[in-house]
Amino acid sequence: MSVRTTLRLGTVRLGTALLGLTLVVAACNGATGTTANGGSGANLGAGSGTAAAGDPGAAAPASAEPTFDLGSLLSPNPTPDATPASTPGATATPPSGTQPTPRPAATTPPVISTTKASSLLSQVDHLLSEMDSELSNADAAANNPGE
Amino acid sequence: MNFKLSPRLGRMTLALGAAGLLAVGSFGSVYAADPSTSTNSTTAAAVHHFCIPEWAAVKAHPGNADILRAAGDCEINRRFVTLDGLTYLVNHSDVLTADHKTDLLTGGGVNPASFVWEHSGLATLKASIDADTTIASLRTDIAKIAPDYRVYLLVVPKTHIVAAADGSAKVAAKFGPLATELQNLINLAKADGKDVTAAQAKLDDLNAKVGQANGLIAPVAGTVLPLSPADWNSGAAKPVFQAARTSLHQARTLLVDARKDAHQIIVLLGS
Repeated sequence: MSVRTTLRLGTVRLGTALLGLTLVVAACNGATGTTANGGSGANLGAGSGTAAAGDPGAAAPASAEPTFDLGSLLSPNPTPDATPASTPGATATPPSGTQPTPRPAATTPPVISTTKASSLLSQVDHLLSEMDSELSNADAAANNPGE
Repeated sequence: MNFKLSPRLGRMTLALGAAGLLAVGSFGSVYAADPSTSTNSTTAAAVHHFCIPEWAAVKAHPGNADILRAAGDCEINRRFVTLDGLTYLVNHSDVLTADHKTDLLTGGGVNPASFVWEHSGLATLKASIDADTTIASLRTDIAKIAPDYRVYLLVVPKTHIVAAADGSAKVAAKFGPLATELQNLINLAKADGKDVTAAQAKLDDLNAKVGQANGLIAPVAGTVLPLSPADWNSGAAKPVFQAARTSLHQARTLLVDARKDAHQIIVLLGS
């Protein structure tokens, strides 16, 4: 089954829908950029302007069509560059995000900082001194010889 | 003689005068905002003294009603000064809770010897003393000043004990976030492969001590605030005060020990 299709896309929405459909077909064929019958890869996007959307038989010259890496399009996080341009005449650039996103380096062991605990401890010290002051006042009042 | 002020000098004088009025006004507003400086303090300078000269005069002139009245007024005025000072302290306290401030100032339904109640009663008594015309009636009224109000034996210690209890509660509450932080640090150290047995034991001890302290602190204000001058006169108030102070001292010891635990945990984890 060939998915080689040249379409003239009038709107972004139609282009996106067709792109999605093509991706599904390509995925079902187990192909990433290569059709099941060994033909050229699926070329989507802006055509030459001569083929109608409902005329899949009219193929535009392959050299005039931008190509896309289906591998990157099928990746879980396709880069914006992998989205085909729908504007007629626009030249799609090869996706730059073909490399898999590097995983973050292994986390280093946590550094134990006692700064916050020390700050809280100094607050306790301050409150303890206030408490001592109030207790001294209470003791002094208890020893008041007044009446 | 003609006194003519130049316009420039006049403007300067006006500006200085306005600035002076503003300064006086600002002092006045601070004074007025502080209820401790209420006009009920009938002494001219509102300074506390022990009325020793007044009582010496009474002793020298035992039959003189005016001299006896002056001694009575002096005793009431010095209590006004004390109540005003307490009012100021309570209003500006950082440790007292809002509820306890209200209780001490106005009673809040739990304190029969609030500052307002004491002030009002003493003002009424002073008016009676000022109206007395005989030595006998003066002596009767003056004899009420101490036992009916117990400013120094009841109100002053009650105020400081409630403040000490609230201050202790603030200390104990501060151990909450400190213990949480210390537990986080212990968990981190444990995840990092460190032996945290000693640190965890210290933290467990800290939490236990703070819990004991809270148990000692919690009932203090509630047992002290309802005491009245009559409770002092009957002998019921004094042991309550003594027990409250003992509890607070024990709580302080526990909190100081908990503080040592926290410090040792920090040292253990930081090493």
